[in-house]
Amino acid sequence: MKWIEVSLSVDGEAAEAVSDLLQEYGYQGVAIEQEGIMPEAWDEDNVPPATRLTVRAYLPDDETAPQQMQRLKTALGHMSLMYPMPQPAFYPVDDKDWAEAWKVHYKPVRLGKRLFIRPRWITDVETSPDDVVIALDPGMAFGTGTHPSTQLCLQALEDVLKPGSVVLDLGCGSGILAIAAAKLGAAHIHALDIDPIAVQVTQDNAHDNGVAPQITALHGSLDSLLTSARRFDLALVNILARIIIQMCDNHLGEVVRPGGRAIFGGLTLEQADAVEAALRKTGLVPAKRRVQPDGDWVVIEAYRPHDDD
Amino acid sequence: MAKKVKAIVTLQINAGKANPAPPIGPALAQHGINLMGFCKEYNARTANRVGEIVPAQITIFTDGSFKFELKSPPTSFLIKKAAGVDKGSANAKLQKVGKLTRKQVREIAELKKPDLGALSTEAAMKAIEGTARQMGIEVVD
Repeated sequence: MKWIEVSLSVDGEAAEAVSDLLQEYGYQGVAIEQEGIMPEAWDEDNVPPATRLTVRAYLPDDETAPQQMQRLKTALGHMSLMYPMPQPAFYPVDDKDWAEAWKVHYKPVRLGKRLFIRPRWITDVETSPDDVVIALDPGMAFGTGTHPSTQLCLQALEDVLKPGSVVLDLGCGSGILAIAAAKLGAAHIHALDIDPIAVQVTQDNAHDNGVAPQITALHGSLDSLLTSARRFDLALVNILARIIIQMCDNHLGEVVRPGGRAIFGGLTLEQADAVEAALRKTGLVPAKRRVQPDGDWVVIEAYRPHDDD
Repeated sequence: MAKKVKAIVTLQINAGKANPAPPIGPALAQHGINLMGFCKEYNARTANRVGEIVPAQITIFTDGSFKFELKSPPTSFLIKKAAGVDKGSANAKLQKVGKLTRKQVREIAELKKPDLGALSTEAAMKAIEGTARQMGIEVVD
Protein backbone atom coordinates (compact mmCIF):
# COMPACT_ATOMS: atom_id res chain seq x y z
CA MET A 1 0.00 0.00 0.00
CA LYS A 2 1.07 3.57 -0.64
CA TRP A 3 0.28 6.50 1.57
CA ILE A 4 -0.31 10.20 1.31
CA GLU A 5 1.27 12.20 4.07
CA VAL A 6 -0.66 15.32 5.04
CA SER A 7 1.33 17.86 7.00
CA LEU A 8 0.76 21.36 8.38
CA SER A 9 3.03 23.63 10.33
CA VAL A 10 0.96 25.39 12.98
CA ASP A 11 1.43 27.41 16.15
CA GLY A 12 0.95 25.93 19.60
CA GLU A 13 -2.59 27.24 19.88
CA ALA A 14 -3.88 25.77 16.62
CA ALA A 15 -2.05 22.47 17.03
CA GLU A 16 -4.67 20.72 19.10
CA ALA A 17 -7.56 21.72 16.83
CA VAL A 18 -5.65 20.70 13.69
CA SER A 19 -4.51 17.42 15.25
CA ASP A 20 -8.07 16.64 16.24
CA LEU A 21 -9.27 17.29 12.72
CA LEU A 22 -6.51 15.20 11.14
CA GLN A 23 -7.27 12.46 13.65
CA GLU A 24 -10.61 11.97 11.88
CA TYR A 25 -8.95 11.45 8.50
CA GLY A 26 -5.58 9.92 9.26
CA TYR A 27 -4.95 6.19 9.50
CA GLN A 28 -4.65 5.23 13.18
CA GLY A 29 -4.02 8.75 14.40
CA VAL A 30 -1.61 11.64 14.04
CA ALA A 31 1.99 12.54 14.84
CA ILE A 32 2.81 15.98 16.18
CA GLU A 33 6.43 17.06 16.13
CA GLN A 34 7.93 20.06 17.85
CA GLU A 35 9.78 22.27 15.34
CA GLY A 36 13.03 24.14 15.73
CA ILE A 37 14.92 21.71 17.93
CA MET A 38 18.62 22.37 17.65
CA PRO A 39 20.50 19.09 18.00
CA GLU A 40 22.90 19.08 20.95
CA ALA A 41 21.43 22.30 22.31
CA TRP A 42 18.83 21.20 24.86
CA ASP A 43 19.06 19.05 27.92
CA GLU A 44 16.11 16.94 28.83
CA ASP A 45 14.97 19.37 31.53
CA ASN A 46 15.32 22.70 29.75
CA VAL A 47 13.31 22.19 26.59
CA PRO A 48 11.44 25.40 25.82
CA PRO A 49 7.69 25.12 25.20
CA ALA A 50 6.67 24.45 21.63
CA THR A 51 5.95 27.52 19.54
CA ARG A 52 5.51 25.75 16.22
CA LEU A 53 4.55 22.19 15.55
CA THR A 54 4.24 20.02 12.49
CA VAL A 55 1.11 17.90 12.51
CA ARG A 56 1.18 14.84 10.24
CA ALA A 57 -1.37 12.24 9.29
CA TYR A 58 -1.35 9.50 6.67
CA LEU A 59 -4.16 8.63 4.28
CA PRO A 60 -4.16 5.30 2.46
CA ASP A 61 -3.52 6.17 -1.21
CA ASP A 62 -6.54 4.32 -2.59
CA GLU A 63 -9.59 5.28 -4.67
CA THR A 64 -11.10 7.27 -1.77
CA ALA A 65 -7.96 9.42 -1.37
CA PRO A 66 -8.88 12.31 -3.71
CA GLN A 67 -12.26 12.69 -2.02
CA GLN A 68 -10.72 12.52 1.48
CA MET A 69 -8.13 15.12 0.55
CA GLN A 70 -10.84 17.43 -0.75
CA ARG A 71 -12.94 17.03 2.39
CA LEU A 72 -9.92 17.66 4.56
CA LYS A 73 -9.07 20.83 2.63
CA THR A 74 -12.64 22.04 3.04
CA ALA A 75 -12.63 21.34 6.78
CA LEU A 76 -9.30 23.12 7.20
CA GLY A 77 -10.74 26.01 5.17
CA HIS A 78 -13.58 26.32 7.69
CA MET A 79 -11.10 26.19 10.51
CA SER A 80 -8.98 28.92 8.94
CA LEU A 81 -11.90 31.30 9.47
CA MET A 82 -11.14 31.03 13.19
CA TYR A 83 -7.35 30.63 13.10
CA PRO A 84 -4.97 31.78 10.40
CA MET A 85 -3.88 28.47 8.89
CA PRO A 86 -1.39 27.43 6.21
CA GLN A 87 -2.44 25.15 3.37
CA PRO A 88 -1.82 21.48 4.03
CA ALA A 89 1.02 19.83 2.09
CA PHE A 90 0.41 16.40 0.55
CA TYR A 91 3.31 14.05 -0.19
CA PRO A 92 3.21 10.48 -1.49
CA VAL A 93 4.98 8.05 0.85
CA ASP A 94 5.95 4.52 -0.13
CA ASP A 95 5.03 1.77 2.25
CA LYS A 96 8.17 0.64 4.01
CA ASP A 97 9.09 -1.88 6.57
CA TRP A 98 9.26 0.74 9.29
CA ALA A 99 9.78 -1.92 11.92
CA GLU A 100 13.19 -2.49 10.32
CA ALA A 101 13.89 0.92 8.77
CA TRP A 102 15.05 2.61 11.97
CA LYS A 103 17.91 0.17 12.27
CA VAL A 104 19.90 1.77 9.44
CA HIS A 105 20.84 4.50 11.93
CA TYR A 106 23.05 2.07 13.84
CA LYS A 107 26.32 0.44 12.95
CA PRO A 108 28.88 -1.46 15.00
CA VAL A 109 31.63 0.74 16.47
CA ARG A 110 35.17 -0.23 17.38
CA LEU A 111 36.63 1.81 20.24
CA GLY A 112 39.95 1.97 22.04
CA LYS A 113 42.09 -1.12 21.59
CA ARG A 114 39.68 -3.99 22.12
CA LEU A 115 36.17 -2.68 22.58
CA PHE A 116 33.56 -3.47 19.99
CA ILE A 117 29.97 -2.29 20.42
CA ARG A 118 27.35 -3.74 18.13
CA PRO A 119 23.57 -3.49 17.86
CA ARG A 120 22.16 -6.85 18.85
CA TRP A 121 20.69 -7.56 15.41
CA ILE A 122 24.06 -7.25 13.64
CA THR A 123 25.72 -10.58 14.17
CA ASP A 124 27.91 -11.06 11.10
CA VAL A 125 30.83 -9.01 12.37
CA GLU A 126 34.47 -9.90 12.28
CA THR A 127 36.03 -9.86 15.70
CA SER A 128 39.21 -11.31 17.06
CA PRO A 129 39.30 -13.48 20.19
CA ASP A 130 40.84 -10.60 22.17
CA ASP A 131 37.96 -8.26 21.38
CA VAL A 132 35.60 -7.25 24.12
CA VAL A 133 32.23 -7.35 22.37
CA ILE A 134 29.19 -5.63 23.81
CA ALA A 135 25.78 -6.13 22.20
CA LEU A 136 23.19 -3.45 22.92
CA ASP A 137 19.91 -2.37 21.39
CA PRO A 138 18.89 1.25 21.55
CA GLY A 139 15.88 1.56 23.76
CA MET A 140 14.46 3.47 26.63
CA ALA A 141 17.71 4.19 28.43
CA PHE A 142 20.61 6.37 27.47
CA GLY A 143 23.88 4.94 26.22
CA THR A 144 24.07 3.02 22.97
CA GLY A 145 27.74 3.66 22.36
CA THR A 146 27.03 6.17 19.63
CA HIS A 147 27.45 9.24 21.81
CA PRO A 148 30.95 10.76 21.79
CA SER A 149 30.92 11.16 25.57
CA THR A 150 30.15 7.47 26.06
CA GLN A 151 32.86 6.54 23.57
CA LEU A 152 35.47 8.65 25.37
CA CYS A 153 34.42 7.10 28.69
CA LEU A 154 34.82 3.62 27.25
CA GLN A 155 38.31 4.43 26.00
CA ALA A 156 39.28 5.88 29.37
CA LEU A 157 37.80 2.84 31.11
CA GLU A 158 39.85 0.47 28.99
CA ASP A 159 43.05 2.33 29.90
CA VAL A 160 42.35 2.88 33.58
CA LEU A 161 40.55 -0.24 34.81
CA LYS A 162 42.63 -2.75 36.72
CA PRO A 163 41.33 -6.33 36.70
CA GLY A 164 39.67 -7.23 39.97
CA SER A 165 38.53 -3.67 40.71
CA VAL A 166 35.30 -2.79 42.44
CA VAL A 167 33.59 -0.20 40.25
CA LEU A 168 30.78 2.32 40.66
CA ASP A 169 28.69 3.35 37.65
CA LEU A 170 26.73 6.38 38.76
CA GLY A 171 23.96 7.17 36.27
CA CYS A 172 24.22 3.83 34.51
CA GLY A 173 21.61 4.43 31.75
CA SER A 174 21.67 1.40 29.44
CA GLY A 175 24.49 -0.12 31.53
CA ILE A 176 27.01 0.13 28.72
CA LEU A 177 29.90 1.30 30.94
CA ALA A 178 29.12 -1.26 33.65
CA ILE A 179 29.02 -4.06 31.08
CA ALA A 180 32.28 -2.90 29.52
CA ALA A 181 33.88 -2.79 32.99
CA ALA A 182 32.70 -6.33 33.70
CA LYS A 183 34.03 -7.60 30.39
CA LEU A 184 37.35 -5.84 30.96
CA GLY A 185 37.83 -7.72 34.19
CA ALA A 186 36.23 -5.74 37.03
CA ALA A 187 35.33 -7.93 40.00
CA HIS A 188 32.08 -6.19 40.69
CA ILE A 189 30.14 -3.17 39.44
CA HIS A 190 27.62 -1.28 41.50
CA ALA A 191 25.36 0.46 38.94
CA LEU A 192 22.97 3.17 40.07
CA ASP A 193 20.42 5.30 38.28
CA ILE A 194 17.61 7.55 39.48
CA ASP A 195 15.51 6.30 36.54
CA PRO A 196 13.88 2.92 37.31
CA ILE A 197 13.67 2.12 33.59
CA ALA A 198 17.45 2.50 33.32
CA VAL A 199 17.91 0.07 36.21
CA GLN A 200 15.73 -2.51 34.45
CA VAL A 201 17.46 -1.99 31.11
CA THR A 202 20.89 -2.30 32.73
CA GLN A 203 19.86 -5.58 34.32
CA ASP A 204 18.51 -6.89 31.01
CA ASN A 205 21.58 -5.81 29.05
CA ALA A 206 23.92 -7.25 31.69
CA HIS A 207 22.07 -10.54 31.43
CA ASP A 208 22.16 -10.56 27.61
CA ASN A 209 25.90 -9.90 27.66
CA GLY A 210 26.55 -12.66 30.14
CA VAL A 211 27.80 -10.42 32.93
CA ALA A 212 24.75 -10.28 35.22
CA PRO A 213 26.62 -11.90 38.15
CA GLN A 214 29.18 -9.07 38.24
CA ILE A 215 26.68 -6.21 38.08
CA THR A 216 24.29 -5.05 40.78
CA ALA A 217 21.95 -2.46 39.28
CA LEU A 218 19.90 -0.47 41.74
CA HIS A 219 17.60 2.50 41.84
CA GLY A 220 19.48 5.18 43.73
CA SER A 221 21.71 8.21 43.75
CA LEU A 222 24.83 9.58 45.39
CA ASP A 223 22.95 10.12 48.65
CA SER A 224 22.22 6.42 49.02
CA LEU A 225 25.95 5.68 48.62
CA LEU A 226 27.17 8.25 51.10
CA THR A 227 25.05 6.77 53.85
CA SER A 228 26.59 3.37 53.17
CA ALA A 229 30.27 2.69 53.81
CA ARG A 230 30.94 1.61 50.21
CA ARG A 231 34.12 2.97 48.64
CA PHE A 232 35.21 2.14 45.11
CA ASP A 233 38.43 1.51 43.23
CA LEU A 234 36.96 3.27 40.22
CA ALA A 235 33.94 5.53 39.79
CA LEU A 236 32.34 6.10 36.38
CA VAL A 237 30.21 9.23 36.21
CA ASN A 238 28.93 9.98 32.72
CA ILE A 239 26.08 12.39 33.36
CA LEU A 240 26.16 16.16 32.79
CA ALA A 241 28.57 18.89 33.94
CA ARG A 242 25.93 20.62 36.03
CA ILE A 243 25.02 17.43 37.89
CA ILE A 244 28.66 16.43 38.41
CA ILE A 245 29.35 19.84 39.95
CA GLN A 246 26.29 19.52 42.22
CA MET A 247 27.43 16.08 43.32
CA CYS A 248 30.95 17.36 44.01
CA ASP A 249 29.39 19.87 46.40
CA ASN A 250 27.72 16.86 47.99
CA HIS A 251 30.92 14.90 48.80
CA LEU A 252 31.11 12.92 45.55
CA GLY A 253 34.86 12.40 46.06
CA GLU A 254 34.27 10.36 49.19
CA VAL A 255 32.87 7.40 47.28
CA VAL A 256 36.32 6.86 45.70
CA ARG A 257 38.75 5.06 48.03
CA PRO A 258 42.09 6.74 48.71
CA GLY A 259 44.29 5.79 45.76
CA GLY A 260 41.21 5.07 43.63
CA ARG A 261 40.28 6.63 40.33
CA ALA A 262 37.28 8.25 38.65
CA ILE A 263 36.18 9.01 35.10
CA PHE A 264 33.80 11.90 34.40
CA GLY A 265 31.92 12.39 31.14
CA GLY A 266 29.01 14.34 29.75
CA LEU A 267 30.78 17.68 29.66
CA THR A 268 32.04 19.99 26.96
CA LEU A 269 35.37 21.80 26.68
CA GLU A 270 33.99 25.04 28.03
CA GLN A 271 32.64 23.25 31.12
CA ALA A 272 35.84 21.31 31.82
CA ASP A 273 37.55 23.98 33.97
CA ALA A 274 34.49 24.34 36.21
CA VAL A 275 34.19 20.57 36.61
CA GLU A 276 37.88 20.22 37.46
CA ALA A 277 37.59 22.97 40.07
CA ALA A 278 34.62 21.16 41.61
CA LEU A 279 36.52 17.85 41.61
CA ARG A 280 39.40 19.42 43.53
CA LYS A 281 36.99 20.73 46.16
CA THR A 282 35.72 17.21 46.80
CA GLY A 283 39.24 15.81 47.20
CA LEU A 284 39.87 14.48 43.70
CA VAL A 285 42.84 15.40 41.54
CA PRO A 286 42.15 15.81 37.80
CA ALA A 287 44.87 13.95 35.92
CA LYS A 288 43.96 13.79 32.26
CA ARG A 289 41.52 15.17 29.75
CA ARG A 290 40.36 13.29 26.71
CA VAL A 291 38.83 15.50 24.05
CA GLN A 292 36.61 14.29 21.23
CA PRO A 293 38.48 14.53 17.91
CA ASP A 294 36.78 17.29 15.86
CA GLY A 295 34.33 18.01 18.64
CA ASP A 296 34.05 19.46 22.08
CA TRP A 297 32.99 16.59 24.37
CA VAL A 298 35.49 15.98 27.14
CA VAL A 299 36.15 13.17 29.58
CA ILE A 300 38.20 13.87 32.70
CA GLU A 301 40.19 11.24 34.54
CA ALA A 302 40.91 11.95 38.19
CA TYR A 303 42.25 10.14 41.23
CA ARG A 304 41.92 10.43 44.98
CA PRO A 305 45.33 10.77 46.68
CA HIS A 306 46.31 8.36 49.43
CA ASP A 307 45.64 9.77 52.87
CA ASP A 308 49.35 10.11 53.57
CA ASP A 309 50.13 11.87 50.29
CA MET B 1 24.96 10.98 30.75
CA ALA B 2 24.66 13.90 28.48
CA LYS B 3 21.10 13.49 27.38
CA LYS B 4 20.60 15.99 24.60
CA VAL B 5 17.19 16.20 23.01
CA LYS B 6 16.99 15.44 19.30
CA ALA B 7 13.25 15.50 18.75
CA ILE B 8 9.93 15.60 20.56
CA VAL B 9 7.06 13.77 18.89
CA THR B 10 3.56 13.32 20.25
CA LEU B 11 1.61 10.43 18.81
CA GLN B 12 -2.14 10.65 19.14
CA ILE B 13 -3.00 6.97 18.78
CA ASN B 14 -5.31 4.22 19.96
CA ALA B 15 -4.54 2.72 23.35
CA GLY B 16 -3.13 -0.79 23.23
CA LYS B 17 -2.90 -0.88 19.42
CA ALA B 18 0.45 0.67 18.51
CA ASN B 19 2.09 -0.92 15.44
CA PRO B 20 4.76 -0.01 12.87
CA ALA B 21 2.25 1.28 10.27
CA PRO B 22 1.59 5.04 9.88
CA PRO B 23 1.65 7.34 11.67
CA ILE B 24 3.97 5.62 14.18
CA GLY B 25 6.42 4.01 11.74
CA PRO B 26 7.26 7.03 9.58
CA ALA B 27 7.18 9.43 12.55
CA LEU B 28 9.63 7.45 14.65
CA ALA B 29 11.79 5.53 12.16
CA GLN B 30 13.26 8.77 10.77
CA HIS B 31 14.65 9.50 14.23
CA GLY B 32 16.15 6.04 14.55
CA ILE B 33 14.34 4.92 17.67
CA ASN B 34 13.56 1.33 18.46
CA LEU B 35 10.13 1.12 16.90
CA MET B 36 9.02 -2.25 18.24
CA GLY B 37 10.46 -1.31 21.64
CA PHE B 38 8.18 1.71 21.71
CA CYS B 39 5.10 -0.18 20.48
CA LYS B 40 5.50 -2.92 23.07
CA GLU B 41 5.97 -0.50 25.92
CA TYR B 42 3.09 1.75 24.81
CA ASN B 43 0.71 -1.18 24.41
CA ALA B 44 1.66 -2.55 27.81
CA ARG B 45 1.06 0.79 29.51
CA THR B 46 -2.26 1.44 27.78
CA ALA B 47 -3.65 -2.11 27.67
CA ASN B 48 -6.41 -1.28 30.16
CA ARG B 49 -7.60 1.73 28.13
CA VAL B 50 -8.42 0.13 24.77
CA GLY B 51 -11.05 2.20 22.95
CA GLU B 52 -9.53 5.49 24.06
CA ILE B 53 -7.08 7.71 22.22
CA VAL B 54 -4.12 8.02 24.57
CA PRO B 55 -1.40 10.35 23.29
CA ALA B 56 2.23 9.53 24.02
CA GLN B 57 4.77 12.32 24.13
CA ILE B 58 8.11 10.86 23.11
CA THR B 59 11.40 12.61 23.80
CA ILE B 60 14.17 11.29 21.56
CA PHE B 61 17.77 11.82 22.59
CA THR B 62 20.78 12.30 20.36
CA ASP B 63 21.95 8.72 20.87
CA GLY B 64 18.63 7.24 19.73
CA SER B 65 17.38 6.40 23.19
CA PHE B 66 14.00 7.77 24.17
CA LYS B 67 11.46 8.15 26.90
CA PHE B 68 7.74 8.80 26.71
CA GLU B 69 4.89 9.89 28.89
CA LEU B 70 1.20 9.37 28.39
CA LYS B 71 -1.02 12.42 28.06
CA SER B 72 -4.74 12.94 28.52
CA PRO B 73 -6.92 12.06 25.50
CA PRO B 74 -7.44 14.88 22.96
CA THR B 75 -10.11 17.40 23.88
CA SER B 76 -12.21 16.58 20.82
CA PHE B 77 -12.21 12.89 21.74
CA LEU B 78 -13.49 13.69 25.23
CA ILE B 79 -16.07 16.13 23.87
CA LYS B 80 -17.41 13.62 21.35
CA LYS B 81 -17.59 10.96 24.03
CA ALA B 82 -19.43 13.26 26.45
CA ALA B 83 -21.82 14.56 23.78
CA GLY B 84 -22.41 11.06 22.43
CA VAL B 85 -21.53 11.93 18.82
CA ASP B 86 -19.20 10.15 16.40
CA LYS B 87 -17.96 13.16 14.50
CA GLY B 88 -17.66 16.89 14.82
CA SER B 89 -19.48 19.15 12.38
CA ALA B 90 -17.89 19.65 8.97
CA ASN B 91 -19.02 23.27 9.10
CA ALA B 92 -19.35 24.36 12.70
CA LYS B 93 -20.81 27.77 11.85
CA LEU B 94 -23.81 26.41 10.04
CA GLN B 95 -24.40 22.94 11.38
CA LYS B 96 -24.61 21.97 15.07
CA VAL B 97 -24.24 18.29 15.81
CA GLY B 98 -24.64 18.02 19.57
CA LYS B 99 -24.72 19.54 23.04
CA LEU B 100 -22.56 19.55 26.14
CA THR B 101 -23.62 20.71 29.59
CA ARG B 102 -21.45 23.10 31.55
CA LYS B 103 -20.93 20.31 34.08
CA GLN B 104 -19.51 18.04 31.38
CA VAL B 105 -17.24 20.86 30.21
CA ARG B 106 -15.98 21.21 33.78
CA GLU B 107 -15.24 17.48 34.01
CA ILE B 108 -13.26 17.55 30.77
CA ALA B 109 -11.45 20.70 31.92
CA GLU B 110 -10.39 19.03 35.17
CA LEU B 111 -8.99 16.10 33.24
CA LYS B 112 -7.19 18.22 30.63
CA LYS B 113 -5.93 20.96 32.92
CA PRO B 114 -2.42 19.53 33.47
CA ASP B 115 -1.79 19.08 29.73
CA LEU B 116 -3.32 22.39 28.67
CA GLY B 117 -0.98 24.31 30.92
CA ALA B 118 -4.08 26.16 32.16
CA LEU B 119 -3.75 27.96 35.45
CA SER B 120 -7.33 27.43 36.56
CA THR B 121 -10.21 25.12 35.78
CA GLU B 122 -12.08 28.17 34.46
CA ALA B 123 -9.31 28.91 31.96
CA ALA B 124 -9.30 25.25 30.89
CA MET B 125 -13.12 25.35 30.54
CA LYS B 126 -12.82 28.31 28.17
CA ALA B 127 -10.41 26.36 25.99
CA ILE B 128 -12.71 23.29 26.02
CA GLU B 129 -15.75 25.42 25.12
CA GLY B 130 -13.78 26.94 22.24
CA THR B 131 -12.93 23.52 20.88
CA ALA B 132 -16.55 22.36 21.30
CA ARG B 133 -17.82 25.36 19.32
CA GLN B 134 -15.37 24.62 16.48
CA MET B 135 -16.76 21.10 16.37
CA GLY B 136 -20.33 22.36 16.11
CA ILE B 137 -21.20 21.30 19.64
CA GLU B 138 -23.14 23.79 21.74
CA VAL B 139 -22.51 24.34 25.41
CA VAL B 140 -25.71 24.66 27.42
CA ASP B 141 -26.38 25.32 31.11
